[in-house]
Amino acid sequence: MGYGLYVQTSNSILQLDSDQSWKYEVAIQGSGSSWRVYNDEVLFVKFPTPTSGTTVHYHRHVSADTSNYEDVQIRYTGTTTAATLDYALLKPVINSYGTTSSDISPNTSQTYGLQVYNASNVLVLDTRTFSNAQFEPSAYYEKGSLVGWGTDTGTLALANSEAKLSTGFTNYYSTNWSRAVSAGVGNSQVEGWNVANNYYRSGGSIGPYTGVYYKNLYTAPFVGTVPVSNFADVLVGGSFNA
Amino acid sequence: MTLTCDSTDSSGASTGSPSTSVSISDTSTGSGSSGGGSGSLSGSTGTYGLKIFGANGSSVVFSPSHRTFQVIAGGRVTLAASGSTTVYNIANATDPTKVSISVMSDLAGSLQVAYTRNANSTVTFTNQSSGAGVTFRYHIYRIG
Repeated sequence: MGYGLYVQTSNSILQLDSDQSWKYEVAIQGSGSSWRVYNDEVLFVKFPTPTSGTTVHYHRHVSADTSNYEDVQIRYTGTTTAATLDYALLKPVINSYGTTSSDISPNTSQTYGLQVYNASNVLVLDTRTFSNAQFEPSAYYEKGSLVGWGTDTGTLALANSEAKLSTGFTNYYSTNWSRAVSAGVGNSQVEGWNVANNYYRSGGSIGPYTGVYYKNLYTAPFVGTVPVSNFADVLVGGSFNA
Repeated sequence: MTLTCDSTDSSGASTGSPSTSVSISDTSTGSGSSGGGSGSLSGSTGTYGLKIFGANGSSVVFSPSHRTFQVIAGGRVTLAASGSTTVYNIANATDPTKVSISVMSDLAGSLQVAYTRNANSTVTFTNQSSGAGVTFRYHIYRIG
């Protein structure tokens, strides 16, 4: 480190390094049904608790895709209806690369706090962008670690243990891996979430399932429907207000 | 993995003879990988370091016990058939508890991009199709 601020925890978790160009991401939280997500932003969503005995399938739908951003909805799979969900949109402080219109401006009426600039004299942290709650990742699933059965497909009772993302309904989930693809007659793939509450399948013989599950099913003529592993890392997170 | 497809007669019943085989490439595991890991991402129990309060003066919004989230690189990229691109200066690239990676397909497109975490602090994205180009969006973020 040449100069500036370097923050690392006692167990070597790097929190801030002003030698780098990275920017600290601040979570904007609220409820919504569509989002414009720029290249240096990540959208996390939280799913509501389903009615007991049911499961709900969601996936990410992209309605506009440009070099700088994409317009995103989280839809109920099998419909064109966008779900209204609690979200945390992680955004960098002002003047990030290529996405200046999306960034967070600090509350300049505040005259106190901490500002950090990197070696290129670019602002990478300004505590005046913080709300009274922040966001942190709490679990990760590296690519290839999940099996996409979800909760409502397949005949093997054990398969879903490999698909579970979390048990409760308080966590947020990264969305930048989910998708739905149709390519030709009968050929499709939907990668998203099954959210279940005390749900049994196969006529009530398998279950119960409660929590949020990874679902990724590929369907093709002659092949039928098969589960697929995650192509990208899936993150679970939550807000803290300690 | 290779799936053998059954032939059926006009009633839909199996003839007992395979009609064709379909090879499925599991791009999720990347080159030579047998699948990834998972786990919880805990903070630190240390009591020293940088602590920042929110505007209300009482809520802690930055402390040694919490992980931060920073996007190292992100963008929308087009690769030619069998093409690849490498992102450099990704310290701890092979550690999924410190660096997380995401790839997203282009609008309504199929995803045929695999990525590899390299020991030389780089991440490589590769178009696994030899017949078509692909446009995709990616994120590499620091989580620890």
